[in-house]
Amino acid sequence: MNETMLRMAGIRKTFPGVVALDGVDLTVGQGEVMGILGENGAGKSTLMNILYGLYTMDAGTIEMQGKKVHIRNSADAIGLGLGMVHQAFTLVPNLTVMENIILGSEPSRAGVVDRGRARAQVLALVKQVGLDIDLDTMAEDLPTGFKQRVEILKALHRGAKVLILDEPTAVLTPIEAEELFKSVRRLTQGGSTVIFITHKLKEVMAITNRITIMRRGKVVTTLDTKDANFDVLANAMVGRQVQRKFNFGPYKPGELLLQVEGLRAASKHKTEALDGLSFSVNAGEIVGVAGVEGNGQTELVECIMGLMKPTGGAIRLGTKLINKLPTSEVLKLSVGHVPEDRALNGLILDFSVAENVVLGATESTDFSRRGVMAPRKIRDFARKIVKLFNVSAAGIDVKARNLSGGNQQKIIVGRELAGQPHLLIAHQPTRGLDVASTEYIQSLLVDSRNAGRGVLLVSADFDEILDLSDRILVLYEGKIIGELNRGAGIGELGRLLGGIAAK
Amino acid sequence: MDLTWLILLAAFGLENAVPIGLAAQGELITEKSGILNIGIYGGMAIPAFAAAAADLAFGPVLGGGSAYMGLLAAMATGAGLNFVFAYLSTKIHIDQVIAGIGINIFAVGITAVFLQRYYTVDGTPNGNTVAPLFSITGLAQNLRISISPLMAAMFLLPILVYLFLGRTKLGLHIRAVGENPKAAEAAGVDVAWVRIAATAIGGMLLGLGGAYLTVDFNPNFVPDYAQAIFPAFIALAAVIAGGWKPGYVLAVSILFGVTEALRPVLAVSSAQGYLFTTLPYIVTVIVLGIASKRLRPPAALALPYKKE
Ligand SMILES: Nc1ncnc2c1ncn2[C@@H]1O[C@H](COP(=O)(O)OP(=O)(O)OP(=O)(O)O)[C@@H](O)[C@H]1O
Ligand SMILES: [Mg+2]
Repeated sequence: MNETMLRMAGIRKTFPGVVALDGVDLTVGQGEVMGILGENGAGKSTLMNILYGLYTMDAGTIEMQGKKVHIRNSADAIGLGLGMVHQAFTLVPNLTVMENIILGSEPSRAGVVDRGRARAQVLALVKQVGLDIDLDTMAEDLPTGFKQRVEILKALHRGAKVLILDEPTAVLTPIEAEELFKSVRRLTQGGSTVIFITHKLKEVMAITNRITIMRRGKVVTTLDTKDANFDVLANAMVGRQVQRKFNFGPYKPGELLLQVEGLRAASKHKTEALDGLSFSVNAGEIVGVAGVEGNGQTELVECIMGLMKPTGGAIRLGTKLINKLPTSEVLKLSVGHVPEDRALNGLILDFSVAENVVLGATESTDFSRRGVMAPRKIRDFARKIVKLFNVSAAGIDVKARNLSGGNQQKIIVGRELAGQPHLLIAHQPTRGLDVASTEYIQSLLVDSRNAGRGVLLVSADFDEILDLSDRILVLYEGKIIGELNRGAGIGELGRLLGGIAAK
Repeated sequence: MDLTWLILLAAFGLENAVPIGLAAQGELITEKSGILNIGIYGGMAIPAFAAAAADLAFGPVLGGGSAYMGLLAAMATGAGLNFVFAYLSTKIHIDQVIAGIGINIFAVGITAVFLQRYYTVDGTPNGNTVAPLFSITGLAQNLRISISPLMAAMFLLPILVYLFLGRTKLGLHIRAVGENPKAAEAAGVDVAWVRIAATAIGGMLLGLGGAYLTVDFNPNFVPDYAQAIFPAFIALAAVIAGGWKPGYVLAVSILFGVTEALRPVLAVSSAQGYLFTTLPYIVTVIVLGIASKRLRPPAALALPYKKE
């Protein structure tokens, strides 16, 4: 390890009902990339939020470059050269990219923002780290990958020497992730230090110098990346062997469940998002939709679910035309939906875990009679889901907001799968999940398929698509430009996407 | 055809619009930061009487200039009152709506007391008034329209507010905390203090709007409870109907002012009078209804922010 940049010792933090951190030690060397691994709810984000001054710790000390520091708020943290890119982005939606980047550290004269100087500064940064972006776009109009670039630039504009990235790749496509890695390497070459949180072991192996593994609020071990391998890491994280093999039954596609014909839709920005798309999903198969984000995935799912109106074409469930059906009716036709953005469409963050678990299922006579809810049954069901999916939460009455990102995701997937829908539309179902939970949820998708139900899997995680899909549809600019069968390799998929990108 | 009534309608309408327009720009700044100041009536009425009191007190020393001391006093009182309000809701975490209602109730009481002291029984003020900037004559026979400096301010303010919010550091911070306080906090912005500042600045303009009711030369207003409550709550509606955009907010304020002038100008009989008295309110509701379809309020409006 190089000279010590940062040392956190004996960090402890409790929330009502949970010990989130129980005496955590973390040492990071100057100029290195420190990976932090740990299952959902292990306390990674909490530890970083303390470092960044968003939470106050109950006990412990923080030293930077050998000197003890007191971080009371993020202004203090920024002053010490810390920068953080959060798991959930923190951009101000109606400010421009540039305003977001300079927010809190505006170059100004007599209280008036010096726009010329700001632009020059930001452009210089963009060039330095190689993250290209249009500065005058509103933050709310940016695709996810670009929001993250803004976050990184924002931290750097504040002069961050230590950059904390909390699951930065969960929202990126493999190609975007590669770009991010390049920038991270550039940064560390320039002397910056990076703390990198992720659930993807491949990435940890590729980008970090050292790895700290956390479990249930404690550090299990810290090791050099060169001494690590998949099994060592997975074992330390989960405390048991993680298998990556699924039991696929024979491929016997059955009745037609979903048929999409010549589907067209306009995006929010009025451009054509879906351009005459046709495909079908049968019972007993997993159909994967692969593609770089922003090529129509969101609109495709929203059209099927009745969240968006198609401008042309037909969507049929079995033989029933559902183009104009509202979401509530679509759901009644035994369709399950794991939405892409859990905070936006999947959960009501201020509702309790129990309430969220029965969202959308309240129609069922199991949970309500003549409009009156049956609390006991709801709670039993919520407990069952929490246990089955190993959700780490202080109880079923805590607000969904207070769950770690991965645990929020488990609640949604659990809720949707519990109804055993004939057709499951799973959009990024394992985003942000730890290795064990990812494996578990993927195996549930495979079980659904083996049991003769259909799954439409839309994912930016190419490994997930390749591992699970019976058929893979490659989506590009609102069209399906190729189809692959099980057994195709990442090379083939990459070539398909690459060939298109070259056009 | 005699167009005098149109000229009168414009003149009266603009006068009516001044307190609405000034207060609305203030409330706009405050709301942009995520604070909804329901206490807007108190924020206008109390400074209105602070203006009157200062005017009376300085009258013997400054003569006619005492009215300007009234304006200063109103702005200071408005800022101070709103400072307290914002401090209570951001630092002590008292509910914004409850604190606002409290201020209004307090204002209702205090208004009655001051009214007796500052006005004679027949409704004329005892103090001095702000002199008009200039007068327009010749539009119609015997008609002399005087323009108040406060009316000029009403037209100038939207530009200043636009530049303030768009170009200054504090303006940027205000927009950020009103939209996503957590993001602003993470960027090192002190959410509570920015909100307090925005509310206090808004209070200055509320105060100025209030002062128009007491120390401007225009004697149309006897700022009793009924007279002051109209511009206050209409200003609240104008901010919404104007979509939190300074220029539109001004336009809506003028529309409301003109609607209010219809009855006196058309000198309608008391039989139809009720209709015209309620017209401003009906117009408000209609404008709000139309506007609400495409409104985009500050995302964090009226939401308290508390650090973990
Ligand atoms: N604001 C909060 N209030 C209550 N409990 C919280 C709060 N924030 C986190 N927790 C709890 O603290 C624990 C650690 O959460 P944290 O978000 O740090 O996990 P994590 O390691 O980042 O997980 P993930 O990989 O899912 O993001 C969890 O049990 C979580 O429910
Ligand atoms: Mg986390």
